[in-house]
Amino acid sequence: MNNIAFNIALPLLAAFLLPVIHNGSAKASRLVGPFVLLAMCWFAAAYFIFIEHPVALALGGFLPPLGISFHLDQLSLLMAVIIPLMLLLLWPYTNREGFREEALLLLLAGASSGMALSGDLFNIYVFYELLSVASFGLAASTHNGAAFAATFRYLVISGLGTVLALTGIGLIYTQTGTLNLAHIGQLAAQLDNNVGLAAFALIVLGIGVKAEIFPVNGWVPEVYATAKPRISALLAGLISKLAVLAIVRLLVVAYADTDALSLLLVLGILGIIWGELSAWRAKDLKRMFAFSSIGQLGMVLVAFSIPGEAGMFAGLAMMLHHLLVKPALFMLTENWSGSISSLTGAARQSPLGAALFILFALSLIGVPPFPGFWAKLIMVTGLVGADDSLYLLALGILLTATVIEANYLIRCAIQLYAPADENSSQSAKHGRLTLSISSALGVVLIISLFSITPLGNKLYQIAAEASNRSLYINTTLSNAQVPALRKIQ
Amino acid sequence: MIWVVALMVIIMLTAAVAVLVVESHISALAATSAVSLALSVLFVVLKAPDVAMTEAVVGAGLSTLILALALHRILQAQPAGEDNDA
Amino acid sequence: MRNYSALLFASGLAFLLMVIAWQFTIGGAPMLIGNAILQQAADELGAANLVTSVVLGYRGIDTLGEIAILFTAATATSLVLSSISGQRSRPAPNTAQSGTILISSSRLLFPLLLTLGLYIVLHGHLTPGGGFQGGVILAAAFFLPLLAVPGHGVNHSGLALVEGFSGAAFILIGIIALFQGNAFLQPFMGHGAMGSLFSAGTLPLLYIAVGLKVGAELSGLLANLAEIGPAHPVAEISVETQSVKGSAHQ
Repeated sequence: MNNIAFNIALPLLAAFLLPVIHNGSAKASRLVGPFVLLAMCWFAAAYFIFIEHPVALALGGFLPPLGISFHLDQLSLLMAVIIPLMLLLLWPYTNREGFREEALLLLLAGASSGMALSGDLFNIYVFYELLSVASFGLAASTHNGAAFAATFRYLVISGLGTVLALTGIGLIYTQTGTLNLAHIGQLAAQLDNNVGLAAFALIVLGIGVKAEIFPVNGWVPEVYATAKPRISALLAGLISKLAVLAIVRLLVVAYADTDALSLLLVLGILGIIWGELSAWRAKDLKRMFAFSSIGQLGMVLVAFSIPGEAGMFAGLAMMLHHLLVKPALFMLTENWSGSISSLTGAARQSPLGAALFILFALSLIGVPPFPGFWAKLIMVTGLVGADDSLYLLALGILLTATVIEANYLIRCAIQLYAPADENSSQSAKHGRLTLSISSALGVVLIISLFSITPLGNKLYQIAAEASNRSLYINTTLSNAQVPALRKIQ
Repeated sequence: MIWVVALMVIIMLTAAVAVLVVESHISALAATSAVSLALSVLFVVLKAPDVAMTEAVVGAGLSTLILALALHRILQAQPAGEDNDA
Repeated sequence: MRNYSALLFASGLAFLLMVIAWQFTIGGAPMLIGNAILQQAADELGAANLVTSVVLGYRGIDTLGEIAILFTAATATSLVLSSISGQRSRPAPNTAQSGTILISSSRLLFPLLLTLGLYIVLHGHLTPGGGFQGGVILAAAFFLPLLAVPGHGVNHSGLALVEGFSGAAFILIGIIALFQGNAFLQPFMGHGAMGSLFSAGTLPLLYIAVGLKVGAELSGLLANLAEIGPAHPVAEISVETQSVKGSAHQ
């Protein structure tokens, strides 16, 4: 019995029952989470390996435009595999505090899988909401006043975003009369006006709160500076990508050839400028990475705004690279909090940590032959091929941003390897778990470095499939899988 | 019917302005609750009894209660004499 | 600086909403899905209340998401509250006594609210209302004694038990449909005579699960908020919060 609906049902079921299991036996409750995540991995991976062409799965047994459908293609299944893997990597194995954080992580896993798989606009919104609420709880789980204040700001901005996104979805419904993404795509002509574009802008601003898009990312630095490194890694690495993907799905299906592309491009450029300049000025490592991830997500947005397959390819490459690198960097901040100048000579105390820092920083900057270089190269090719003055401006800003990135990351690296002086008394040693998580991500990075050609081909294939609008629409509307067909006129 | 709608709209607007004007937090909460209650009547007029029921139960009842309890906790945490600012 | 950017953001938003208001025609919305569901929902699901057939049938997974959101919010709140007060806090012993009117009227209202809540939950597939609304009324019924007699304790582990198993029941009903060869959350068990209590297949069962879960969850949440922790650590945290806010404004 294999069904992708288990990827939503199992984590939610486990989260609902976790308090009960914990009351019975605390030891057993600690095993539930990893086991469920492994099962999710198994279900999604089996689908990902054996799927040949996209499939739409009708939930509740109602054919798609009426009922809710999941859209299973290589991209959504890839995300469905990455989500449990990432959570397994960042799971609080040593956390003896309680089951509540584990329940929130499981809910986060279910919500993220739902967001990645769903093919219904309102369903995506529901899972986005679930993901938001779970991330509030996780961000506040540091148990100090600063984290509470940061989370409160996050909550208010996110609440505003939710209202905006819901308004946008409501506008799309009044224009088309449907909520299914494929059906909206079929009726996209009705959205090619100012109201339709405004609806898209509202949804981008709303869901963009998690995607750290330019005007609605005021919460980012404080939350990442105060939350546990594991949680920052999750939010910056995984959750932001899911929000971007939801926007991209809507863009591909309903707004492919409209001004929506320029909107994303402009927001992305502003994000790059603001993020990278703030990162350059940042005084401590956590805030620096927070701002840098705003800049990186700006780049992802710019990449996705390139029309056609080239944009999807570049966007996915940048996105997956950031998904790999940023969590590892955030994990390294575990004992490297405080100002950057206090890190002088930290390399002596934690040589492996410093080496990993150098590895990920080089890839993030885009030094050949690291994967980050190939991602940026794909993006540059796409920008040049787009043949539009605004895209050339974006190219210039991307290259400048790379220089700024190189400047601040190398500045940090030099600080790490500088000879220690008296005032760097704090311990800069990493825990064994932190180092093994970062090393695991580093090993993945190095493996992908040596298999860059097959990976690139596979990614191009995924991008071509995901950017094929008519394929998406036909998959859902003409051959959705309903196990027992009901009589529908 | 139009009179009911007009009356409810007037109540809602008055209560909404009152939220901004009144001094004490707990009265502001009561005023938000009144907005929700009048809105639920409007939903009944619009033939959406399910939504009206939700609005009355959650908007007017539950969320007001949760906010009041949170307010209570905050006032308890603060030293006496500081609870009238902001 | 922050004020100016907030102003800029607000004016941009106002512009966006003005564009919408300018070009938006009220009342002309197409009813593609709406009409289709209106026509066939009664035949497909056999529920007299059309809203229920949308909430639990056509969009059942959304409802699963909604109850998960409520659960998440309750879990996150208790995570934050437990971290503030360290351990489960005692109810404050020296709260002022509530009057006779409050106490006796809460005793009077308790069975009435309980009956009303259960009625609304059980008749969700027939009349307006359902698990969410009825669940909130159930929670109100159990919270009323707590309001009248502040020292009144709440059985948290019992609530957790009801909450966990009713949430699990919702998902398990969905999974049973899956094992029967249908889709996840597909209604089964036949339609019955429309308008009777035992009709519309699994929809009433799903609503009972939702009602119990919402009721238990909100009772627990309200009781958690009403129990007053030791004042000292809370005061410390609020002062720290203010200093952080102050530094953020510079």
